[in-house]
Amino acid sequence: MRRVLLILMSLFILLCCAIADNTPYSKQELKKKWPKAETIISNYTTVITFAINSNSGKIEVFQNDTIDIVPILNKPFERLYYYNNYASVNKCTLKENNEYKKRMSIIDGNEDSENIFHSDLKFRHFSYSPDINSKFYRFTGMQTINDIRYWGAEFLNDPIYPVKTRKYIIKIPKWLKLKIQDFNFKHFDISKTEKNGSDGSTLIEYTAKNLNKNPSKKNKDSFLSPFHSYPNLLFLPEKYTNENGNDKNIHSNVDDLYKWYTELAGNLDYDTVFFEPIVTDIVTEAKSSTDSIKAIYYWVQDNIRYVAFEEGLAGFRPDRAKSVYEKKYGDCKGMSNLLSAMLNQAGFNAKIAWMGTQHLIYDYSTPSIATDNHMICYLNHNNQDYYLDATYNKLALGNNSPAIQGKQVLIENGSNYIIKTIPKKDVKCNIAKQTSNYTIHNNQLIGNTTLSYSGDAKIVLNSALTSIKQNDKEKFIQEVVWKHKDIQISDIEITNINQRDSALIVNFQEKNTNCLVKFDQEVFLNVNKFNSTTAARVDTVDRYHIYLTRKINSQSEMSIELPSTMQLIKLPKSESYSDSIFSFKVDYMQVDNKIIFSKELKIDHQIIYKDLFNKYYTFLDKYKKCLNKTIELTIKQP
Amino acid sequence: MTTKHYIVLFALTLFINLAFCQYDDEFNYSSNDTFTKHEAELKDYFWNQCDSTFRISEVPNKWENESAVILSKRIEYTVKKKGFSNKLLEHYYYHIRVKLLDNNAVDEFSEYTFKNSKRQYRGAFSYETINLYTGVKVEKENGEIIEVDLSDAVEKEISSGYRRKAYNKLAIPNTQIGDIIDIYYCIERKFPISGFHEFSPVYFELQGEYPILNQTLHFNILRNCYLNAKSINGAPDLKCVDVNVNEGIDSFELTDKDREKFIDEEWSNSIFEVPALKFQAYFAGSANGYLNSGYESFFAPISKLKSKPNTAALADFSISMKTNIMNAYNPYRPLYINTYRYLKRISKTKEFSTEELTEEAYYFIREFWYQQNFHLTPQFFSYQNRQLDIINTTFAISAALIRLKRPHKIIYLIPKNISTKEELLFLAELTPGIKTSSTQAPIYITDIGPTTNCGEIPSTHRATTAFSTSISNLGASKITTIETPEQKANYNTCHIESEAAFFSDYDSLLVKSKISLLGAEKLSWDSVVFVSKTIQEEFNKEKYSKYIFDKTLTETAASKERKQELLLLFEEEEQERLESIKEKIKQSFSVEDVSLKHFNLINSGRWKQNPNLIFEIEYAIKANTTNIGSNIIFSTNNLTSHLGSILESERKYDIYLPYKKEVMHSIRLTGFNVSNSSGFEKLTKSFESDEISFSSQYKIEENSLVINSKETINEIELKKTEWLKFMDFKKSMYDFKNTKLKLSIE
Repeated sequence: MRRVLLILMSLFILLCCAIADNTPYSKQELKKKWPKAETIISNYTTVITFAINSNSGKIEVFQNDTIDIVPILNKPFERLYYYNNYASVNKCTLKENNEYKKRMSIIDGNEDSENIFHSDLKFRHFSYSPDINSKFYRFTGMQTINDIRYWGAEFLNDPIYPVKTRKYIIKIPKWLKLKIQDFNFKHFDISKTEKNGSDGSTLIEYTAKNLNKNPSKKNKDSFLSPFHSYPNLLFLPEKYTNENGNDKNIHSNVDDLYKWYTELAGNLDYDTVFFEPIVTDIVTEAKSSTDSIKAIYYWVQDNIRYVAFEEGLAGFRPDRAKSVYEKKYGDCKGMSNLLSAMLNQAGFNAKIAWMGTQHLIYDYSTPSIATDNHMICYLNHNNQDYYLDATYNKLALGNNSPAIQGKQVLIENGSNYIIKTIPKKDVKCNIAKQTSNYTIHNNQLIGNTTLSYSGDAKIVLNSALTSIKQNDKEKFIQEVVWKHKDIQISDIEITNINQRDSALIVNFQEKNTNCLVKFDQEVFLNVNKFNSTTAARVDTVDRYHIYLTRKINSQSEMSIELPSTMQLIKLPKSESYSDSIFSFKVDYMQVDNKIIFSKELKIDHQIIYKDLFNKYYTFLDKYKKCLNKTIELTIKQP
Repeated sequence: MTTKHYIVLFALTLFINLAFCQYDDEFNYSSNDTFTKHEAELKDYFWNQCDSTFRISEVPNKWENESAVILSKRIEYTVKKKGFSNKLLEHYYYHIRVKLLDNNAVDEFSEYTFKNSKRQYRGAFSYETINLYTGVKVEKENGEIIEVDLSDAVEKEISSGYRRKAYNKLAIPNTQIGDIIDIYYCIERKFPISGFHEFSPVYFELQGEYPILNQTLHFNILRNCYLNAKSINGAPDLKCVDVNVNEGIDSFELTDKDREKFIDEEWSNSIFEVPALKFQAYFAGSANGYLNSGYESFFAPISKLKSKPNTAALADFSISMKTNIMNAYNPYRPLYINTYRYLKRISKTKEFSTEELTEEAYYFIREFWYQQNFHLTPQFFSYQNRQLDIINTTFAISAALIRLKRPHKIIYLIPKNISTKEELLFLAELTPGIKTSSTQAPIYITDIGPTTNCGEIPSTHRATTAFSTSISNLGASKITTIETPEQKANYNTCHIESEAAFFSDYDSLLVKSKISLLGAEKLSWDSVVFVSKTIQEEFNKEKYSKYIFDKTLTETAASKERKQELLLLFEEEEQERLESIKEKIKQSFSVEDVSLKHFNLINSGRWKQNPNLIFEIEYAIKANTTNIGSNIIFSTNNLTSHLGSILESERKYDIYLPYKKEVMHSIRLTGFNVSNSSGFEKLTKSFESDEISFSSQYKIEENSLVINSKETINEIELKKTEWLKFMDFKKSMYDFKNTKLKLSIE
């Protein structure tokens, strides 16, 4: 038996090597394609196979990577694998020119990032300082996922190096029904072949050419996530036939996924005796049921600190509601669970709900663990759906953060579930408005400006303002919000930071010494500076999307009172543009001795994909050009 | 010796070490009980026996709008020799009590990362032990005190082979605005020592990110241990608070109250502003406290507390450093020996003055080191993973000159950005160098790098105190105090000659500039324009190839591959250089998009005969224009140097500029009809003062506008009372930069 196994294993390894044995490309050829790359992968082959573990009865997924790494510069290259209780990293090797074995330096550790306080995910980092004269280094690595249900999505591109040829081969045995869905293939050269084996298996092979790496840190502005850019495969294991010939569902539909999630979540029974006095105290001043919901929702926002923990059962088991209450901190799951417990205690039928934020592109039409990365609390009250995300500060009931709008939620409902879609907020509601009243004095524009933020515009700004130091808020307004370095502002007042139901208001005095220019009797005035913070402009090379922090609805109305010594000669023409996504309007008019200038910019998409880049930039250029117009005045003759 | 013998020897050594350890009771935590007992003692010490400042809960009204206020902070530092053993103990205790006043502070202080509160390391032979202890408690506004269970912390680790680094992360529960967090952290270190030992120098700032109501630094210095300490920038003095003759304990303390937080201002220098205590403890090595080498004697005379180092010891220190570099086992010895051989050879053909020889030695060492990059097998075996620094350069040149019987001076200067003569305390605050003996034109060697020039003195090394000793075969003379040469604006110059022409759409400009830089002004472009190829091309084979050569024969296959590899590297660096130049233009002239058309390095400035870095660049940028019929309004801001934001009207600290300089810029603007254009008179600006000045003028030449500007910094330290003057100076430059002209495009 052992000999048969050895022969089978050897044959399998030979198969992997044969598949992977592609001729490396010349360095010159690779360098020509990626002139700035320090390291390039010429061939990257992944072979996926499956087996049923006889002890656990679970389906294991084996991932074998063969990667030909071509050193272009004398810099160490690296490989990174993650593992936890459900995935292990098996032996990894490195051979110079696929001949001489090399010893890599290996670092094992806990994943520790700025945004996640703790995760049970561990990394294994391999690195090697190559000999620049070597043609290539062949890295082989094997990873095992103990339970196919934890296997979600895989990217075809490599996050840190460009890849010339990428093969992803899945050998699906006869006993496994696996659906594969591809995403973001549109802008890439990717082909797919499918062959049936004599043993009833299916060999699916994806071949991709010329894949770029993820953007570097300096080009990460306006980049939401690789899910919105790079080709990836989502694996949907539907069912399998066991040794006895019986069919067993894995994730054939959302029912299966839901059942599994509720198992992972464990028993969520709430300690009613514990919560009774607490909730009574919180809702004591509520005059209506909606007031009670608000009181509880806002209490959790205000009193429970968000600390990201991803530990236990792939980060899917919420902390107990009582524990979150006592510690006064929790992650999204713990906070949702506490919120649900308190609302239930107050007599509402609140539920926890799984969902994927904007970072992910999947929904429940493809039931997979990869669909979810967040948890909120759902409540239907008086036929109104509420999606309560307590991880945001000072969020009003009924408002949803841009990160979850438009996304599906899987709502816990006993033995059943409910799927709903969180509505997207209309761009009309996300208003960032500037109102200024100026006078001209000593060739300077002096006046009072009010910035008002509502909807998503308020959510985004409020979230930043509530997390910075209280005595840094004015500086933040000056440097981050206002951003016109050459316009002095003073006496900054911020109101309504803590008022959930009112617009956030910022008021200040403005002194613009640089917008008015005088040549003898002629005076030229340009107040319409384009604020680059409004709409991002990033380098689009190798980019597939541009992410805006919110849908843009930016409005300004400025009134300039002319002194008695000046007279208007000419106003620029009012202009506008509008299509289904982008629109602007710039208006000038004279009312008595005042010039009224108004502008409006609307962008109805938060994520702008590659297809729209040209349109987006043409639109921005047009808008910018339209703003770069001058009001012509003259000095009145005495 | 057989393997068996080795095993016996190993077992014997281990036995001796273990046996010795039996007598060392204080740190010998053979059981967890002893460790836990000490842990409990420390908890009691910090939370029950603490001084009254650790019971304050109220924040003064003036700090109510702060993010957090440190109500009390206490550092306790203890060094002692352990009785009759050969062990030194170093204890560092840190205790802080903070009131949280906003969400940012709650987030900041309620996540605590610490190393395991247990024995960290016990070397098999060295018996170095580090024990760590910590405790956290939260005091609620209603007075309730919650001790945080440290076992709730999650353990994180990173390991590589046998090396493992573990730490804990604790999310402190139940924290909210108004709470007080009380944390202590203790490091207790024990290690064996046979002779003199200096503990790490510490620069402790009394001002930080948050205001501090009370803070205390307490020192316990015991048995043959001593302390050098100095209060600077108005920090209170360290005072003796207790002397216990029987126990041999001397205790010193610094107390400080009501300390505002530090506000970082542009052009300020925290080194001269933030009150701090510098300290360094040392163990004298023997009962009589005799310090023998120059290095040890820097701490003399032995005194329980003193605030001045013994700079006279630098004379002996110089001799020991010179001897050290000549040592056969010193990895930097090849610097000295090859320099000596080179100088000896060239001296046979010509009579060189000491200044000339020093200059030859400097360039020889620079080339000897940096040309190794291009060798297949470096002749200098220890080249890799090492840095060339001024210490090794100084003593390699000095040793070679001494052997050639050329007396010269070793100097130890205090860089201006590190300390001053009055505040000097640590040996590490001094930078060595060479000064030749000529009274007319001595050469100073104080810096070395791939692009530095002999005799060029960095601005931080100018007009500062240095300690000097004449060194020769006979030894080193007594230390004298000298002043390094002063700095003048025309040592650091930038001359830019630009020609800018509008493209036909008047939307963009083509700019051709010739830039010539000298002194410190070179530094900002050095890293941008220099590539390895420049250094390799400038190698003077005729002069140096006898001593600087590739050990490998030139026609081997490996050599050919190396050449190919260098070609690749040069190509890569060229690409990077063009990108960097684009970025530099963006920063220097505050423009958004730059299209670089051409770059040409005219002179590297790496050689004393022609020290200016000179290059040409040609690039296209967006012009800042607005069309008004047959005219355009044009702003000159894209053509002139970047200035930053408008200045705040209030100033808290004195003004420190990086160096004295002279920047001259001439721009010839063409592509429009000069005669019908207006607004040129706005280009004339002038701000004059002895310390800082700016002037700009224009002239019409043929059909072009020539704009000339000159910025001069004659003084780099200005009192904060001169802030208005500084603002006026900046305003004149700002107005010039933002001048708008009406240009006729008919």
